[in-house]
Amino acid sequence: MSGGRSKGKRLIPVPESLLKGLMDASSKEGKPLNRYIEEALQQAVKIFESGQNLKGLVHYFEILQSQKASGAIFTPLNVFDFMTNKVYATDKEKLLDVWFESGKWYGKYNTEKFLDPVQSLADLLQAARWDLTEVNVKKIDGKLKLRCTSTALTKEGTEMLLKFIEGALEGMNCKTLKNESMKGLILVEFTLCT
Amino acid sequence: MPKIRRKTFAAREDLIERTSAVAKKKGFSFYAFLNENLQQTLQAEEMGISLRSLIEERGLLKAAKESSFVLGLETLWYEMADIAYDKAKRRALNSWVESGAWLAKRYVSSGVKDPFLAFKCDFEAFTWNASELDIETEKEAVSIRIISPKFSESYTFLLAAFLESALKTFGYTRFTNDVTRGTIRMKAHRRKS
Repeated sequence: MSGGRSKGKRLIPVPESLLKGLMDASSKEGKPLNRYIEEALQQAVKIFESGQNLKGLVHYFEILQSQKASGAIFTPLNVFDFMTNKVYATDKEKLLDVWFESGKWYGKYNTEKFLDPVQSLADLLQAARWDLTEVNVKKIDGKLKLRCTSTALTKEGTEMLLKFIEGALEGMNCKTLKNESMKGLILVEFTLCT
Repeated sequence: MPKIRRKTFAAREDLIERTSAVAKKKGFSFYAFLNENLQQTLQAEEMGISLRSLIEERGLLKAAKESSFVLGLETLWYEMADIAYDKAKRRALNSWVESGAWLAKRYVSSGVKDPFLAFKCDFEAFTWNASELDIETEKEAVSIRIISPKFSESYTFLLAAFLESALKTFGYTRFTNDVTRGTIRMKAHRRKS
């Protein structure tokens, strides 16, 4: 590493265009340039030291912001499980309808909000449903395949999540071609309609 | 290839050492790591996001996961709470009471210096849907005020039961509660430990 030294400080060369951007940003925040860069570096190091990266954090941030904007809230998992099992036993059809409609609303919201709503749905499920061990979307032979797996999800929970996904796909103007589910596993095959 | 014009800035040596160590660990050169991160910082700022808020929001999701909270659409939760409360009020309340006690116990047993403060911070962060939320402690008393016109009646009562149970686990007794749809006012005291 090269660079000049003075009193515990070192001069670091960076591209002029980058430094110009940093100067603009620091003056917008009313901070001296050096302090602004040091703070940015400190935060970046903190992020990496905790095993994360900036891109990933921005991604999480966007998901969380869209969740807040779409009216999502946190609920204790065992309360959620109780409600699911209780309501499922007595009002299964009504419950599935509620999940489908919620999914549909979310799908429409997602289409408005993101350039790739399908991937964003998968990201949301991955980030917000930590009872899912795997969520992925693959394009095979012109068809899209969404797969969710979980070792913790109940049969009822799986069924409702599938309804939510079906609703979301309909809300995103996708056509479901095939779906399959069993306790802890959801497979949906669909195409994007233009 | 045209030569890139460079300018310098001064940074603390200890910070440069730390940055250099992280870059090495990630398989980057110091300058590649530095430039990429400063670029991404600017991109985030352009989106109106500060690095501090990125870290805080990620921390919120992590805390929610560790506390076994799941995210879902508010209307969906309310409808499910309404149906469950209508069909089995006592058991529905009981499930929220158990959750409150479990969550509080988690903080009490976590080894943090002030478990109630940790609970308060997380609860405030998780309850972003409330229009007003104040949790104030004064000596051995706590007072909670939650207002949200969106809460359904059953959800309000279930959340109040959850909070009361959590407070009991923290050692609070002598409750004075005023709960109506969309409004929770709760006061409790505990003996000096």
